Amino acid sequence: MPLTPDDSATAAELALGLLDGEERAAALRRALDERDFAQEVETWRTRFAVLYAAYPDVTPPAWIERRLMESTASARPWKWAAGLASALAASLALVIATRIDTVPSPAPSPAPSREMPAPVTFAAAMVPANAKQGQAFAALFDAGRGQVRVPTEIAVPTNKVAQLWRIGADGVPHSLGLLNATGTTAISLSAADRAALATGATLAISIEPPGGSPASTPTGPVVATGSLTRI
Amino acid sequence: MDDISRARLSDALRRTAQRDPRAFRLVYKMTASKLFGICLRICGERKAAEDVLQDVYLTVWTRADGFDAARGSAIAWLATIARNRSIDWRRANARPTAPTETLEAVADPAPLTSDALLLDERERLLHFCLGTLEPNQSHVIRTAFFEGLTYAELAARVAVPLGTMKSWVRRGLIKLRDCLDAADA
Repeated sequence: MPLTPDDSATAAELALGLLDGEERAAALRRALDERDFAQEVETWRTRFAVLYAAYPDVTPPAWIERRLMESTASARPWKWAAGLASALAASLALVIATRIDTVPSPAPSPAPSREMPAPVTFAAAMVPANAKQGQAFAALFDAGRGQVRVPTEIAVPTNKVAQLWRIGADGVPHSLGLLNATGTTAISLSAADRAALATGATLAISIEPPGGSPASTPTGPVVATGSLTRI
Repeated sequence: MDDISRARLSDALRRTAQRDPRAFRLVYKMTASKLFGICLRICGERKAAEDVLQDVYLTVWTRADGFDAARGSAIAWLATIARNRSIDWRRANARPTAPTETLEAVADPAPLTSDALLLDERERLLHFCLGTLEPNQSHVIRTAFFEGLTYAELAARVAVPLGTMKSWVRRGLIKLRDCLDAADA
């Protein structure tokens, strides 16, 4: 069914970032479910991109360049994960547009009653470090249930396990638990982990020996990362 | 940005994806002042804009392989990251919207005439079509883009009810699309 002008306006609202709360979540779900709608979001994004030329140029202070160049010379893999794109998650629709048929859409939830606070959900578009390891997939943090849910989308070598981490603004990884070899893993979180995820964090998955990392930080390669954004 | 600069930037971004620090430095040199302008405008404070700018380039360093030249220009890809990152920061830090302003008082980032001469055809078309909208429609759409505001923030900014704001914007967007499609046809 071709998009109506109203549908197109909604796609533009999502592309501009005008929506929040339930309206934003509903529009994101449409972008997941409907290829034409996702394409329209992308079209609007491209249309508006020409406006970037109108922002004034402002020279940033020199220390930023110095610090960036130092970091690129001496980075540990997980350090980078902290700096990763919430841009990627914020424009979830962009990622979604490329893999509509593989991201499961969230199950429809009953409309919240007036007395109940609306459920708060965060999503991260988990992007594999290496394109050969597959496409981006969605990890969800359900703040109401205090649970994070991650589908098994990463190939794990025999005799290894995938471990989920959260990385806060300080760049320090904290283990959230091990992922099942198949299906979706639901991990119930401690109060501290819930609080940390609710203020926005990066999720990362590393490959570790059986039983998980023997250290407090990842010992194996970080194979996917994504920033949590409230949806 | 002329065609040669565009091609150089696109190439530097491709090499950045292969972890070439010299290419990364070139990307920074070519784009930092544009991206800082975006961060500053949306974050509204210098310290935050500096932090966000750093984050943006860390993202570029680790995620340059996500750039696909077939889907848009390198500068648009970079600018989108800077805009989204800045919006994330502003929303996470719950910036109060600026005190109520009248429509006229909000600086209109329409390009100056001299800049307009440099715009390419697609840019001219978008500005032309924005110009065909009611002034209030075009104004709030531009403001939403340049400052990364939500409906609620826009409505507070220009002191109109939320419903009025939505209807201005949506009618404007539909008209904008008609104008752009007619020009493409």
